[in-house]
Amino acid sequence: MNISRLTTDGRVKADPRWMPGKNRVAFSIQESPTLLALASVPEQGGASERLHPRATTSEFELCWNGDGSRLAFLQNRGNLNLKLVLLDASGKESIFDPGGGFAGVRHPAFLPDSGRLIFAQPAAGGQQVGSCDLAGQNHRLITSGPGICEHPAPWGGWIAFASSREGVFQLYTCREDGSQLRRLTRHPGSDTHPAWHPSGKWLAFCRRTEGRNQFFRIQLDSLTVQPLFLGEAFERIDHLAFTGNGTSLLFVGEKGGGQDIYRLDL
Amino acid sequence: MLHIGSFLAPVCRGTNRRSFLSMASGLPGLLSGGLLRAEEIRPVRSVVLLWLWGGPSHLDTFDPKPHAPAEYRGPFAAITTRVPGLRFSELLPNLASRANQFSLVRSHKNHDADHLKAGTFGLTGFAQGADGVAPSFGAIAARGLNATKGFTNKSGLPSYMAVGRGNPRDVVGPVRGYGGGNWGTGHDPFQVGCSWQGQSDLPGLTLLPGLTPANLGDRRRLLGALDEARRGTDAWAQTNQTAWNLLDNPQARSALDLSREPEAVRQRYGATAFGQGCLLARRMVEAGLPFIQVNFSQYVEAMTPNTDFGWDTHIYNFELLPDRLCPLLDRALPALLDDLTERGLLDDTLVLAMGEFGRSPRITPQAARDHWPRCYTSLWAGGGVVPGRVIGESDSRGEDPVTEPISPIHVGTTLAERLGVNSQIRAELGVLRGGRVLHELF
Repeated sequence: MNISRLTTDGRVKADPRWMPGKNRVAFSIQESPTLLALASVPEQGGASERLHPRATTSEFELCWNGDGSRLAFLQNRGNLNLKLVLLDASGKESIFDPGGGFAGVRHPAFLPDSGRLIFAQPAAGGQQVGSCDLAGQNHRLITSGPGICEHPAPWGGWIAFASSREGVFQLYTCREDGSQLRRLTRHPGSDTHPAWHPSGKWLAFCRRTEGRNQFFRIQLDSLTVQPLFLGEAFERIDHLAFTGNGTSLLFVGEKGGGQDIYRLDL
Repeated sequence: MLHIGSFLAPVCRGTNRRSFLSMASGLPGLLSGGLLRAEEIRPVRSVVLLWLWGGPSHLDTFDPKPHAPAEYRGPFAAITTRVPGLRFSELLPNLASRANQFSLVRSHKNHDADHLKAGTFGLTGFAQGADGVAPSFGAIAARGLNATKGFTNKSGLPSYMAVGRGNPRDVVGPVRGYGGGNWGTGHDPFQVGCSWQGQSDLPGLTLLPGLTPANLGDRRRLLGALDEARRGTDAWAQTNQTAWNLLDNPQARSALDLSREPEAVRQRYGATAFGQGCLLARRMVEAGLPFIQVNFSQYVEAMTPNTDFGWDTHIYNFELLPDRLCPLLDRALPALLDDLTERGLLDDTLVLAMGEFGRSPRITPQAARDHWPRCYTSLWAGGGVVPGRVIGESDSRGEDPVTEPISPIHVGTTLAERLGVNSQIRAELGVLRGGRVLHELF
């Protein structure tokens, strides 16, 4: 497997995302001690640039819809308060506001072909998967049950997510309406960050074993789990995502104390 | 097992309340400080206090409760450590693999759930009262050592320094107990900043554009510039004088210059301000500086505009800990312990990591954890600490200690005692009355 280092500055980073039709990779970066910023870098590596150079408050967890015409991200607009910002092709901004005070959503992703976004949000005594429309309205909860839900990822009418409903984080899938809940993994450590391969036949995910992150894949028909990338040459790996055609994985790798965005060709 | 139960904070002038007195009457001498082995072993040269401002979740770090109900235990696994039977959160694998190099206190108790008040209590041992603010542990160390026969600070550095971007604060103001308190600003720590790239700066000189140690050829020009700039407050003038003294002392300048470190060493600590700050602390230890406080962040808030991501995780505790806070700590602190060990410095250096309180064991409606002063954990290493121990115990949900609650005043008393600021000096200074040495650690 070939690994390419896309950024080289070593700053704290997270959330690499493929930018549809742009041949670039977006990510979050610690721009200053008090600012997380959105940035992008060419898919082959090179100079990175900020997406919103005039932003004065932290922005992170960027996502696009399938054709790249809409994007969404989280913006820190108050004391311990995060809003979900949605931008359409014209740059018109809509907001999903989870409320004042200590509140927020996390891990937004567009549901293909449904005109809605999904995200993780505090609700019902834990954290659930919720959704809203493209205007930030018509909110509804998708999951229920105990524990914390994170990293919801949609594909073809299904949603994969991590949940601690039965202990530590494990992977589950359900339909977009929350039905047909299915547990995928059983592991003593945490399984998080599910990412659908574009074929929809398998998921890549991050498995934490005795505290060490490694990437695995699970076949959705057989639930067979196999190592995908163990990251031996890295001090830490995290935050995986597929490129658009599914031939590469993007991830944050830590080497020499610095964090950068890497592309792993599968 | 000794269970005192709830207690109220001692106030600044040192009179205690309630259970401390009742316990003292039952165990004469236990609270008077400096009893068992801690005063019999050689004092340390330095204390490094890593202040995890904002309040780390004890359940999600060093005191996991994997068998607690789901609404308490959280989503993270508990992993084995190098100490049989001891488990940490899976978010701290590097510290887990070094658990035989340090000990924990799992029964801390603060008296207030407010950052500013708890911070003052946590750093001074006393609540802010009508009679003012007690001096912080670092101020006591510096002044106490200066009053100690035979002590000389050969480092060329002030005896009490803070690494970080200033006096920790929350959105409504600074913590009052950060410095000299009633002793005055002259006993505040001298602050040095440190960037993620390892660039340290002296705030006292940043007001002079273009002035760096590299262009100090014309000292008279510098002195004139300083005199001109010194027209501010006395405190500012004192800061500037200290900065000038540092610039005039090659040894002191060297201690603050991370560019002298090999790249491999700098990388071990991580490319973060806290990581490089820990490396700077190690250089200060090498120079012989007695008390160094490394601030994890300037602000408590984890996610608030214009703040720098502390441990105050009222929202997204379960994302911020794995994504940011724990990996950062789990890199810098092991690097510091390894580095001090390899250089033969750890036996003479007492390292302590803690925040002002823990976080609520019961998961909140915001799917996170709020302030929790009733129970929290600290990590102690080096300086005569017997490693691999767990002092104190929390209940099955991490809500309260089931052993003696360890108050911040005992932390301060232990730090002072191990630095050689003994009970007599403390009495002469009128500080830390009612505190006891945590002899269980030594």
